[in-house]
Amino acid sequence: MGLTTSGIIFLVVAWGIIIGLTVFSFYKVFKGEKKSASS
Amino acid sequence: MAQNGEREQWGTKIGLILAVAGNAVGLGNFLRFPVQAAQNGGGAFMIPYFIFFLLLGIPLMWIEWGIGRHGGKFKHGSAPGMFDVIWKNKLAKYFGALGLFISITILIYYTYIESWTLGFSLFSILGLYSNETRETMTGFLSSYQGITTSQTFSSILPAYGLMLVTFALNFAILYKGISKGIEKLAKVAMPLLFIFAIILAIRIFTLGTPDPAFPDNSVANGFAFIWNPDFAALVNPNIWLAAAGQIFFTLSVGMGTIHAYASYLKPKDDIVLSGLATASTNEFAEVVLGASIAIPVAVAFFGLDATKEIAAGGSFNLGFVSMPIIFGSSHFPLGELFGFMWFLLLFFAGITSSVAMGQPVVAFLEDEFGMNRKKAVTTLAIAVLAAVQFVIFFLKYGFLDEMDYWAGTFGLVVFALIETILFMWVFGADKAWKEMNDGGDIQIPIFFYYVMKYVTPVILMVLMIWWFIQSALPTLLMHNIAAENIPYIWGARILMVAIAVIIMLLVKKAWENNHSEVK
Repeated sequence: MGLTTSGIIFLVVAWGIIIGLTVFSFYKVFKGEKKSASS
Repeated sequence: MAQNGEREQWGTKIGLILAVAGNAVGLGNFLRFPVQAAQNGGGAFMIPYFIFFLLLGIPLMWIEWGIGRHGGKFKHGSAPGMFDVIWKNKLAKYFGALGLFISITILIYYTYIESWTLGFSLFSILGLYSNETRETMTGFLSSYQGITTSQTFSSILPAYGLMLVTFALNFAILYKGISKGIEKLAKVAMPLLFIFAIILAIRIFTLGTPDPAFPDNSVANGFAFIWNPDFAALVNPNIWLAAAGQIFFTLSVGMGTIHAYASYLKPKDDIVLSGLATASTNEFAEVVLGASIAIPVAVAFFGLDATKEIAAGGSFNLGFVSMPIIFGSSHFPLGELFGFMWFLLLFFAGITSSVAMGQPVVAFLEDEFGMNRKKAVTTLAIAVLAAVQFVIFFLKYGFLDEMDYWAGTFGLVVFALIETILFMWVFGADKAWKEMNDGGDIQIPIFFYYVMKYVTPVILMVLMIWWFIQSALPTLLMHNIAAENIPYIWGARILMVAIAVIIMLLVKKAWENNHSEVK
């Protein structure tokens, strides 16, 4: 069987969305924390 | 009202996010999601899954954070008080009582299941199971649960002892409070959970084909089972409802726990970014890690057809029978260590969720009865320990399943629908929108205003009606229940009704007390 091209696409897109969202939100959280700590 | 007028607060924003993410990340992320995806169209399942994440999951997260922080301004840390301030009606607090009923009922049985994961992590490192078959491992689990006896377990005492340890840990954390207890736990348990899950996922990626005699039994085929899309499945409405249900369960919405945590925020603290960070952390644990462990390794060891059977047998079958067989196999080097990590990560996922389920009742007793934390936690501990006896000793008669269905499945969607209508329609969409965005590090896109007002309640209503027809009615009428189990099912119902009545009476008493104080 193995992963088909469409299977790989779904895996990569799903992981990409989730990882992107996680990185974006934590980047914003840490940036905000740093800002409030310095002010 | 709180005794000294001051309520606790979270120590750090990251601590709060990890605590709410800990509440959301549970056993379902690692056991329920991969089974749902594999059974409902593989990669194509992700289409409705992401749609419902946007239309149901994220909006409900923000709604619950909003209701919680708003209630906290009035020193209410549980749903009865929160609903009372957003709807000036005598009935509001009783609708909120459903949030207390759901969280305490799930806490009763969930903590017992959580204790199994602690037990199995110890059994893994002690090598109590090795070279097991599905039959012997099923016997191992049922003898541990006290349903049968085996060479390893001749009574329920080990399970009972571990249950007491797990409950003691939960109540000790709750007793320590928000920042010193729950937040500290989240800061330790959540990173460890992710480290263990990443190590396990990497180990499983590199397993390849464990037994060269069976070349089709490979990790690659396991990933194919989950991710190869079956587009034809998308025309089946059941797939869409399964995806909506999964999003709903995975974020731990509809049980009053997020409200309780958010009530300890300051009025101008951000909830938009925190809610998004929480939801994305949960999704990372589910879609990236959860889908990369149990099902791929099951296909690699048992093959595709057997894995389909295992998946059809449910999450417990996958987690507590199939996974120990794999870790105990001679084809899995250092299986004792990886088994230990697997069950410990499930234990961390469990305990960060169970303390969240205890918090609404503790907050209710503190805020509405003026109890100190020690007294509130002790009261909860006595009540839960008394009720869990029925779950432990009547497990084989379906007592736990009955409680799980009404509180942990159907009750959640009912509560979520009520809170969405109250916040977006009774309190008012404009006021709710302002409340959620107030103090936000980012602003919620305007698209979600319409989603929360119109789309989310409609989806919840469809889910509720569908589940009522498909499962609530047959469950209520006890279809397919063995005759010997019927008295125990009634017992579970009587226990739940008793819990609900006691909560209602406590809510009534609290409001009478507080009202007469005001007079």
